[in-house]
Amino acid sequence: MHARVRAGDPDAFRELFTSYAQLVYGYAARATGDPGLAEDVVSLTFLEAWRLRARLRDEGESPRPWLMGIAVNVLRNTARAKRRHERAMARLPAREPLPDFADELIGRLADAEQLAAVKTALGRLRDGEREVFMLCVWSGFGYEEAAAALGVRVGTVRSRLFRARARLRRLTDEELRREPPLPRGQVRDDCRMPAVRSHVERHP
Amino acid sequence: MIRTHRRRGEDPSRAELARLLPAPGDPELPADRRLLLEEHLMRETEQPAASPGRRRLVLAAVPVATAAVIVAAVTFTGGEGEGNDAASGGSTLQRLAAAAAQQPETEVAPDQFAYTEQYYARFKGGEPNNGDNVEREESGPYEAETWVTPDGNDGWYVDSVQFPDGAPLIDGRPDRNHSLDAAEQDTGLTCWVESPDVVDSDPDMTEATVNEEDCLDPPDLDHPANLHQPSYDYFQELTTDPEELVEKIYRENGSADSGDQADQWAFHTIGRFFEHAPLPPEVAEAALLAFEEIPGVTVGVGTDAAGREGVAVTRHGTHLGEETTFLFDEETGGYLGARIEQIDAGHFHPVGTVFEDSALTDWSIADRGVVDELSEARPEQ
Repeated sequence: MHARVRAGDPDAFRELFTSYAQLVYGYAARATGDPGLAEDVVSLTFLEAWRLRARLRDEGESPRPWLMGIAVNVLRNTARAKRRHERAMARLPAREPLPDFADELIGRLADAEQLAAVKTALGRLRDGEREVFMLCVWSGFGYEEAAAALGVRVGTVRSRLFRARARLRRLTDEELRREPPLPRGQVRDDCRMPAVRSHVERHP
Repeated sequence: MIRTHRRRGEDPSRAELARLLPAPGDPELPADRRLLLEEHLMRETEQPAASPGRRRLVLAAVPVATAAVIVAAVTFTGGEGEGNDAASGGSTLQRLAAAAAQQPETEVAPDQFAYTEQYYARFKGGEPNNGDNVEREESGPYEAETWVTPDGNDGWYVDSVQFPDGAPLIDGRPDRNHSLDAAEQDTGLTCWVESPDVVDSDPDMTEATVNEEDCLDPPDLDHPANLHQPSYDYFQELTTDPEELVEKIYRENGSADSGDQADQWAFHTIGRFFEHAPLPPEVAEAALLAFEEIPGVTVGVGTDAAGREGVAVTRHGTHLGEETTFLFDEETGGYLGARIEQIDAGHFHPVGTVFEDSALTDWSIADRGVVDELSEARPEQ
């Protein structure tokens, strides 16, 4: 399949999409907490993959790390990716206003309170730690796979996970000491966390 | 100490990590949305690639002043929230980094130039070095303008003292030979030839006489960009992780120097990045955070050569007895200038010697103007 994607075979590319659209979407939705933005990230990731298809190498059996590396980059700078694919995104059919499946979708995502707590926790991690955490823990990537996706050494993946664990443990301890728990409205929206969201807010 | 060596133990358990921070739900892309995105994507793969002309319009430069206003608005509304602790606090460098990260990204198309204008109140060769044993010539005040392509291979340099008529950039530096009499360059005294056979294995090939038909086109002398000669393209690929960046700098700066010398060189390496506008916001952020990883870096207040006050990031290099300061705008994290001064006695240069007092006074993206020959292309702003 690698060679066919590289050669620009549309069927191979469609196969790539059907195999991995859900993986990219899941990662993006958890990273942003925004289903609509996550859909944009899916589109942008595959538009980038199409643009960069010549760089897909045969190493490894699965194109997963390569594709997720692109998704991570799109999330790091969604504004840049949107600019690059401005016209393609303009041709994307408009999102339906609060469609019928909204309830279903909310049911599948965690409730708002849990999302806010997750956002706070993710916000305590540095960008690199957050990416490694989400790939390895939430998306089930192996260390080698995550290293390939992020373009770092396996040792870096490991050390970032160690740091992520240390920070999350501290956070858990803090929350256990905090009595009673914060009312929902006061959960602080850490400005460092939603790298993607803040980009989007700045470039409406 | 910049690298903290962690004890090698077993890998962090994913089960524990997943307990510490469970995945929020299992977000699923609904089948109808997936089909819609899929069909859109497949239609796009049939579209011809965007034309460069159109692209240039999209990638117009953002004026610096506008950027400053946006960043100020974004950065400093968060600080007044209720009960903020860690996020609104942080070190000055962390706040500078956060502000720099929020700068709009500026893209430079392959056929454009990054333009910078610098003012040197005083210049005496920049950083001192180990081999200094002759007095340096002082120049200044003067202004310098640089145009450089995103790959760093072509450019033009003008300053009011040494190159009033300008000179092409070669390896990031103005070509001194360019100021020679043009006739002298055109006499064809030397040229590139296939192999030493042509010149009788004469070790001093430049003195040999060859037939004109043996002359070849000059070889491609482009040097790959590196930490000390970065280009716009180079920065796009550079790591945005501060710790990785610092590791890379120490590694690539080499192991010949160690201790204070290595730290000071790493400090200079990072500071010089900022002269190459426009830095990608994420790289600027990483570079500012990387300063914190270097021992002996202090943060205060200072003024650049153009009289602008800003955050002064300083390091005293005890090895050569000099102090280097890079200045940044407090609100935007944007680079202002640099100052390097001899402050310790007992070294070659007397105390008080100012090696550099500079300011980056303007930058923008320029389209190519005049194109005659490759090396003669003086861009217009």
